[in-house]
Amino acid sequence: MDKLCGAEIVTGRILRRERERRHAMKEKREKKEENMLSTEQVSYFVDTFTQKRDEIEGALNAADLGEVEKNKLPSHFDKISKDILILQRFTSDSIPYLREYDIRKSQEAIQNLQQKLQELDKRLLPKKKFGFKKKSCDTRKESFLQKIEDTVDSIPVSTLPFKALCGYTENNCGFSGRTEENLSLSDEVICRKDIVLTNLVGCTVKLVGSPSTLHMASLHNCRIMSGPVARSVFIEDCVDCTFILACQQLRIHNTKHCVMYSHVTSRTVIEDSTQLGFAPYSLKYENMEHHFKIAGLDININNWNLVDDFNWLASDKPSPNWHILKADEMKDDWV
Amino acid sequence: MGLLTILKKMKLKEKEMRILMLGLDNAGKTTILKKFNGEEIDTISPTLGFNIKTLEHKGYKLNIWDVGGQKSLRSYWRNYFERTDGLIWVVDSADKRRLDDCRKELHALLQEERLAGATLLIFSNKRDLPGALLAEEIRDVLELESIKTHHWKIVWCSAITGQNLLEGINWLIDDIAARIFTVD
Repeated sequence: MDKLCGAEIVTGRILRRERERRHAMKEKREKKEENMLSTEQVSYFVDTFTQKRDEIEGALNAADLGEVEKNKLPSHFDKISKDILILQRFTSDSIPYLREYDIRKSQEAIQNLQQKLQELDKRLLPKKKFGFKKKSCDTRKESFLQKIEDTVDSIPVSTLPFKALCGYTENNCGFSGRTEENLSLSDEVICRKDIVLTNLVGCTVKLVGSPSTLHMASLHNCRIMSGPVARSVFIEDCVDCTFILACQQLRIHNTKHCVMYSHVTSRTVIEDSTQLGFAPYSLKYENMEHHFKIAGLDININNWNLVDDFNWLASDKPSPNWHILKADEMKDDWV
Repeated sequence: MGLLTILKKMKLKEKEMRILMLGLDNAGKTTILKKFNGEEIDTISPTLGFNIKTLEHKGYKLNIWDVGGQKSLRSYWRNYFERTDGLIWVVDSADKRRLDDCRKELHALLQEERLAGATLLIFSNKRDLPGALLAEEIRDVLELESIKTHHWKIVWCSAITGQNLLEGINWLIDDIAARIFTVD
C-alpha cells in the first residue's frame, strides 16, 4: 500500500514539473516575440528618422550652396523649420519603445539641424528685408500725410488712420472733410455697410437705416443721428458733438464735451474722455422698428446708463468723466 | 538635471499649458474664449480687467488668460507674461483703420523676453463680416513673415459662429506639446 502511495506522489510531482516547464517555455517564447517586435519598431524608427534627417540636411545644403532663389529663401527656411518640428514630434511620439541611446542620438541630431538652420538663416537672410519694408511703409505714410494736409488744415497727425491699406477693397461709405453741411444717407445706401465719418465741422448727418458698423473720428460741433447699428459704434477725437444712435456696443475714445442719446444693448465704454453726458435714445422715424429687427437689436433692452470708464477703475466712487443728463436738459425733437 | 528639467517634468505630469490671449480692444478675445468654452456670448461687454478660464481639451489642462485690450489696459499686459506657453493674438479683420496699430502692438509684444519661445497663434477674427480682410491680407499687413523668433500661424475664424476656432487652438496645443512635453 505504502509503495503504491509513493508511486502516486512521484507521478504527481513529475506531472507538475512538466507543466511548469511548458509554462516557462511559453513565457520565453512570448518574450522573444516581444523583443523582435520592439527591435522591428526601433529599426523602423531609425530608418525613417535617418531618411527625414537626410532630406532636411539636403534642403539646408541646397540653401547653403545658393541653389535656392533669394526671394524663395524665407519660405524655404520656413518649410525646413516645419520639417524639423515634425521630426521632433515623431521622435517624442516614439519615445516609449526607444532605447535611451536612440533618444539621445536623435535629440542631438535634431539640435544640430536646428542650429544649422539658424546659422544659415542669420547668414543668408539678413535683417535687410525687414528694414526695407519698413522704410517703404514710412514713405507711403508721409505722402499720405502731405496729401491730407493739402486739402484740410489743422488735423492732428494722430487722428489720421489709414495707412498701407489703400489697396484693399472697402465696404465703406460716408463723409469726410466737410464743413457746415446737412448730410444724409438713405437706407439702401447704408444697409449692412461700414459707415465712416471723419473730419467734419459743424455738420448735421442723418443715417436713416441699419449699417453694420459706424466709425466716427475728428468731428467738431456736429450732430449725428443714426438708426440702429448692428454691431459697434466707435467714436474718437470728437469735440462738442451730439450723437443720437442705437447699437450693440458703444466705444468712445479721446472725446470731450459731447452728449450721447444712445440705445446700447451691451455696455458703453469710454477711454481718455471727459465731460460726456448720457441720455436714452430719443430718435423716432418711420420704419425704425423694422430697422431694429434688421440690425438684430432688441428694442426693449437699453443699457444707455451702464458706462465703463477705463480711466476710472475705482469702484467706490463714480467716474467724474461722465454724467447722466438731467430731465430738463434732455431733448427729443430732432427734426 | 537642472531646475528646468525638473520644471519640465512637473509640467509633463500635469499636462498643463498657460495660454495668454491678447489683441486690440474689440478684437473678440472674450467672445472667442466664451464660445470655445460653450458659454453664452450675447451679453459680452468690453473687458475691464481680465478673465481666466481653465478648461480640458485634448487631454491637456488649458489655463487661458484673456486680458482687456483697451489702450489704458495695455500697459498691464506685461503682468501676465510670466510662464506663457502660447500666445493667441486676436485681430479684428474688418477693422482696417486700426490694423497699423495692431501691427505695432504685436511686434512690440514679440520683443518681450519673457514671451521668448511661446508659440504664436494669430486669429484673423470676424470673417463673417462683409468687408473683412482675408487671412493672407492680414498676414501681409501685420508683416508676419518677418517674425523669426516664434513659431507662428495665422488662422481665420469667426467667434460669433465658432468657425475654425477648434482648428486654430488644436494647432497651438500640438505645437506647444511638441516643444515642452518632449522628454529629454
